[in-house]
Amino acid sequence: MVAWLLIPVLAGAAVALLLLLATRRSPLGLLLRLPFVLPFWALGVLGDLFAVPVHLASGLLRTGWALFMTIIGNAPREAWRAAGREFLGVADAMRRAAARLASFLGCPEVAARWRPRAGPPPLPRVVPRRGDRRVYPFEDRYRIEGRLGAGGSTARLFVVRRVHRDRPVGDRMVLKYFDLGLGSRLDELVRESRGMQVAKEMGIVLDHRLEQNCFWYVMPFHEGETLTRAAARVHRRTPEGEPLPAADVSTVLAWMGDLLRILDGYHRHGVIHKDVKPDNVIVTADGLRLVDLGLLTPLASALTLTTHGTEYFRDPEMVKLALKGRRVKDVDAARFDVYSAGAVFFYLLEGSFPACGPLSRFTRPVPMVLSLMVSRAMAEGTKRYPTIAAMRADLEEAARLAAAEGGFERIPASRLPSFGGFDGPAEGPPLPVEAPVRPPVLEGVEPAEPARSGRRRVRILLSVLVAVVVAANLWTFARVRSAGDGPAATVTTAAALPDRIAGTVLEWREQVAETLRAAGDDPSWLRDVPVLVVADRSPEFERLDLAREVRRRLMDRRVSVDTSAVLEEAVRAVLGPGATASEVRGALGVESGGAERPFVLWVAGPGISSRRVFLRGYFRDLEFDRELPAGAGP
Amino acid sequence: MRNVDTRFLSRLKDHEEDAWYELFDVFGPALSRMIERFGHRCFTPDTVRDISQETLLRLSREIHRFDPGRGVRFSTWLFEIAKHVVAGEFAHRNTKKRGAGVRPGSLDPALEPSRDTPGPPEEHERSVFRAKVYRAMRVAGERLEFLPFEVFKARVLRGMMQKDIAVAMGISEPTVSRYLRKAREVVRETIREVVAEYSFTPEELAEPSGASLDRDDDSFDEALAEIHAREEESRRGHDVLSRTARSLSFGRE
Repeated sequence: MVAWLLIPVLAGAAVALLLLLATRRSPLGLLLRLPFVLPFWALGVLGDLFAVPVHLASGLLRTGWALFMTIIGNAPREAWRAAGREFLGVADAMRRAAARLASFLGCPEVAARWRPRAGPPPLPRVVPRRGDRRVYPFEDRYRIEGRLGAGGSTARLFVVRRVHRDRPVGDRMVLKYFDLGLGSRLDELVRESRGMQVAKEMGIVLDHRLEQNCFWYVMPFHEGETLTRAAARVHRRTPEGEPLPAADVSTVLAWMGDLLRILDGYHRHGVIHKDVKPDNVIVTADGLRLVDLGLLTPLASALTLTTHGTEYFRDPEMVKLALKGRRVKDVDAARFDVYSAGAVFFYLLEGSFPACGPLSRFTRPVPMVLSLMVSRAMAEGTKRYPTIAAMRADLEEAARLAAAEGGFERIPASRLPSFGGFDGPAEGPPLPVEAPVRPPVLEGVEPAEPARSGRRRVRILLSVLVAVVVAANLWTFARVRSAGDGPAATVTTAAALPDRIAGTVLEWREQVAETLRAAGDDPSWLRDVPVLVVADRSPEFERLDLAREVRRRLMDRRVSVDTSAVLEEAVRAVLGPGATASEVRGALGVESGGAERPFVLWVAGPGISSRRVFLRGYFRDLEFDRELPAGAGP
Repeated sequence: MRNVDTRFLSRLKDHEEDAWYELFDVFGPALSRMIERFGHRCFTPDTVRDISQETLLRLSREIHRFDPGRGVRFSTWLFEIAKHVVAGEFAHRNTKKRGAGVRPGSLDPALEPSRDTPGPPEEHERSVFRAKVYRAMRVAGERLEFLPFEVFKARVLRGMMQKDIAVAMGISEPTVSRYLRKAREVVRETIREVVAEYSFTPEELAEPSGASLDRDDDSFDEALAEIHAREEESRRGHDVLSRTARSLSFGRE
């Protein structure tokens, strides 16, 4: 009886022992797992080998198709790329078969070397539109080929191609479409539209348009996978708690270098991305691409900071400042992207998000030189990298030293350019002369100041403040004097306006005319202009109907858009102190139509110093009892 | 009993925006975890976030009615208010199902717990204490120079030996030792300050010593590493749960 009971126990133990032996990297282990693994291995290898002629045939067919498209003149860059991918697939299938063989023979290092790093990037989810008969306002210019998931916004994302002679031509693009009638909110439209001009200059937006109730813009379509997926694949290859192999660390650094280069470009153009995270980075065959421009913000924006962003990748300091109601231009907003870049770097090295912000731990052994860079990017206050360029300098120097010394573990962190901080090397060895940390020179934007000691910074700030106050007083005095001497002093409309507007009116009357003359336009129409208004951003004014009209006109002229409650103030000044709110709103054209009168809106804000913008628009229903005198115009 | 009207309470009573943000920043994650447990995964992450914010908002609004002289722990106070808000949410859902209106329950019992009020689960109390220590470490990080704090992190959070830190950083061992001494001093002091700021009872004030945070350097490092590891694990786990719930709720749509 006991013997019968012992049999299953012994059999189980024998099976367990065999399984244990089979998992060992030894000839015996190999022999034991051969019967189990061989059929699967053979099937895998056969599959890989079968894939070679399939890819080859497909590549040839696609090449023929691309050739045909070229002959009929349809600019088939995408068709050529698809053909190229098929030929790359041949090489990948052969490599995969070799890696499978090496893995079977118990040589994981060789297998890792042969395994294709990244297969042909999978196509994103494209859902064909069926049964949707809606005609979108962009369909005369773009043909819809599919739809993508829109993420957190109320926009609709379409995969489109340009329409030429009623046929879709060229590469696929992504079109983001907001419609007030489809649930989009005006604040979303405003937020998405504010960085469009810069984005277009940078080539990340190809086309954009603001219409009566909708706004849309077109971006290039990047084929590839998100950095989240790519990083997960890298980390799956290495067991938890073990260091990443050198090849994977190099991949991570290459990605990081690419990302920093992109962010540096954004900052040089005077905008921040504000939502940098692995899900918003696409790994393509040509390198990384940063997508999702929903939170793109000009560094010089006068709008209040918002807390939008993604938890764990969003700078906590930004949230604090946003809750205090600080404006973007009043803070060093580029540092928010530095924090996010640090969080992404953490994600790439660790394979998980930084749950504890700057206090997050690496569970994998990560070289100190790299972990210090993550900490520096996510540090608070002046300890953080002042610019993306400074972080990039560290990364490049670390990569150079690692190549020279044979690994990151051999580089002491003290050799990083940023090791001594940004006040000069107070501690540790001196900074290497060949890799100085310099903030980049931003075009049209004040470069971020490197961290300075508290007292020195206060002294500089006070000096600048005193200089600004003195200059402003002198300027106002000079304007008042000149206004008293010339005909401009008789501008009764300007006189009726508050002082800060009036001064600008007097100054701008001439500048408007000069600019129009330089542009070959006749400035004589300015004689009939009832009011000139200085404007900056204000959430109250954003809600007014006129704001949208102004923005639409400005978008057509491809200039940045800013509006202001100052306009309302100006209207109040013209209507008189007794004007009610509804009268003011009516004058701004919100509640009624009526006769249209020309006006000029001076749009102040980001880039205005380098790009002055004038608009010949319309005030609706606004009766001016004090007109500009005939001689006051240019 | 000590004067429990801490600076933090005064700031909340003065309706300082910073104080509210601090409250949310420090205790938000612990509170969210507790609310998730209350909701038995019935709540989506957005609901959990809304209820957390509502709890803290009520707490800061009704702060003038709070009498710290009753000797009620901070964690109990949070727990009671959260329980009230969650109960309100369930009541709202049930009446909505029946198509009726909902009458909000009184917040008074939640705002005025006594010593006899059954306290929250032990895990919640521990997580509130961990949140205080985590906050203290962040404040210490702001107060310290970059390198001393990095050395401290390498020693405590990564468990590296002083010699290894010196080699990896490229600085001398005495410098590492000096940095560590300085950092420990600041972190100890900050923990004392932060715990005192967010504590209303002598038991809460004694929590650091119960967690071996007042012992010798090695025990201090070990205890701190343990608390940090638990906090990180809990935050990470909470987020994984949230993501799962989020994907499930998207799937339902």
